Amino acid sequence: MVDISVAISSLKLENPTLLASGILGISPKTFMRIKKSGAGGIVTKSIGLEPNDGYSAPTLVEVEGGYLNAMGLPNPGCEAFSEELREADWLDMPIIVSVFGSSPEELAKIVDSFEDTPCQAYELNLSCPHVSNVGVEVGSDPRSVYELTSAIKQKSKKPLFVKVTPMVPDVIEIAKAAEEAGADGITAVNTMKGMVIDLKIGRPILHNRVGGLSGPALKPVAIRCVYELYKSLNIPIIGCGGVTTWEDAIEFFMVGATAVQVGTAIASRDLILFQEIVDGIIKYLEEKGHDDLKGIIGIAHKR
Amino acid sequence: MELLTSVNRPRICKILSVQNESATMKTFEFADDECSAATAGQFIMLWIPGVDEFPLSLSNIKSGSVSVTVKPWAEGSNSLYKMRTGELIGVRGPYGRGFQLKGRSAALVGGGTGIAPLIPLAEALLSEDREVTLLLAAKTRSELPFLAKATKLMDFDKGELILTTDDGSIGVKGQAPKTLNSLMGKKKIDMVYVCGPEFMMQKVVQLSIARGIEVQASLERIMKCAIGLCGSCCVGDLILCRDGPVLDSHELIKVEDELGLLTRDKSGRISSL
Repeated sequence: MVDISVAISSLKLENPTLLASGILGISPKTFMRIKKSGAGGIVTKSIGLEPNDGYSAPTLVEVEGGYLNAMGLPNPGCEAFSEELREADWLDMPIIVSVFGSSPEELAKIVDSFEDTPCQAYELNLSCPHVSNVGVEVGSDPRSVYELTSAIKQKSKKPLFVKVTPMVPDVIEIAKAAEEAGADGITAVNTMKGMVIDLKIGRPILHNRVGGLSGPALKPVAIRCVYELYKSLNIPIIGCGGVTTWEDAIEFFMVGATAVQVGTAIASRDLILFQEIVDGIIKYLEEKGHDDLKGIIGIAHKR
Repeated sequence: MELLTSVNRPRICKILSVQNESATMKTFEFADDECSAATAGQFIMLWIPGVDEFPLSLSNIKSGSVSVTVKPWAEGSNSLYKMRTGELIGVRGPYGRGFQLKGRSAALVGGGTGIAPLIPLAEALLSEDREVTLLLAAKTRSELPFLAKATKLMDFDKGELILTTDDGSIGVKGQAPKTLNSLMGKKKIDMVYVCGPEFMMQKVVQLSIARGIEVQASLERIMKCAIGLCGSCCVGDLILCRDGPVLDSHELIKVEDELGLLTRDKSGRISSL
């Protein structure tokens, strides 16, 4: 019997698939449905200090190999969302709360509001490509990454994963800063900035004009980032970017990921794709004679 | 490698005609092949470049042209309301699950702009030789849309039209659920379809379930992505843009603690309806 459970720091997952942040992660009842569909856990939408409506639409447009989105970090704010989580005491699954903020003080407040909820870990979103002051700008500066990561680590004993942007010359430098500040893992990667123009009216389709590219087109970038990080870090890596099939997940494990996040693929494949990915991983490990994921994590570095 | 699908990208269409549908609603006609293939109850995302994109159900589905009917109430619909023949809109979709054609004798209950998807539904049901009782409700006569079209539809042997207004200026005076209740006492109805204000839908759903009659309701929530990613339209554990917008009896019972009571605003905060 193959065991695909994984531990990322003190967070235990029955299987190595997680719902990626920004996708559906707003209603606790939906979290349970996603778990029943096979996910090992979920990452919530990124939560800030205050409620935020996000951008006007269109907020999403399909492109070759994926989607561009500029949702604009819509979220109920930490007070309302932590209250909703607190009331959902029936939630019986790993919940990772994604947080964003522009200052250590802000993040400390946000994290504080989730300490007594079913939240089991945090993911620090330092890499949203379409909202200023809280995204890529801070996530590209190792010193800011260090400060913001430290702020959360000082406030909470729960594991903290830092989600990095691929839009820097040296992703290792950013992830190292997070590791030095006490991060328990790195999520790699967030989306990349893009734009799409409608020819008939000659203007960008997204209301915000610029959006983040996700989906299969992002996968090779994410694979490369995880590969680079695995060599240089001592903390686990969660792979994220274009995971659509079990083969994609295996590819992430081979370059060094301990778990993967799934997001955009839900649009074309429905929630059941979590179970398909999990079944595919088990079948692959069985066929190759591995008892668990350890046998394949990082093997691309040795061959 | 999968090719880019055109469904999830706005297709620019010219407005072919604009008609006043009631004192407070207008119908906009445009041509789009994907929309012509939609089923009644499905929705589209309509883009006013530079303003907003918002969900709308189709009020007319024909090969050659389709239409939407709006009441100005937010930035996007206000802007569309002022548009004229020849101006450009973007359209993506159709999305979601529309009405399922069922039953031998259906009651279609519509209130205000909620009447829009019931018109193509009535056409589809009648074309399959099913009995249709169309129950249309509005505050007052001048706000009752689709009167001409509904009257014409009822030329079919199997069609009946009942109007109800809050002030009694046309048809039965009172609220739609009450009128439906007395209809159910007189006529053997085996399928109820409803679209309108959610408190009205809640009553119609409760009434139907209490009488053991199957019901389908088209719900409205904030929709941003329309493809099941952003989560802004979650009701219970349902993702309305994909699982709905039309829910069946089983699903409506599952979400009864939210139906007519709770919704989420643009930020995702829960608020009272």
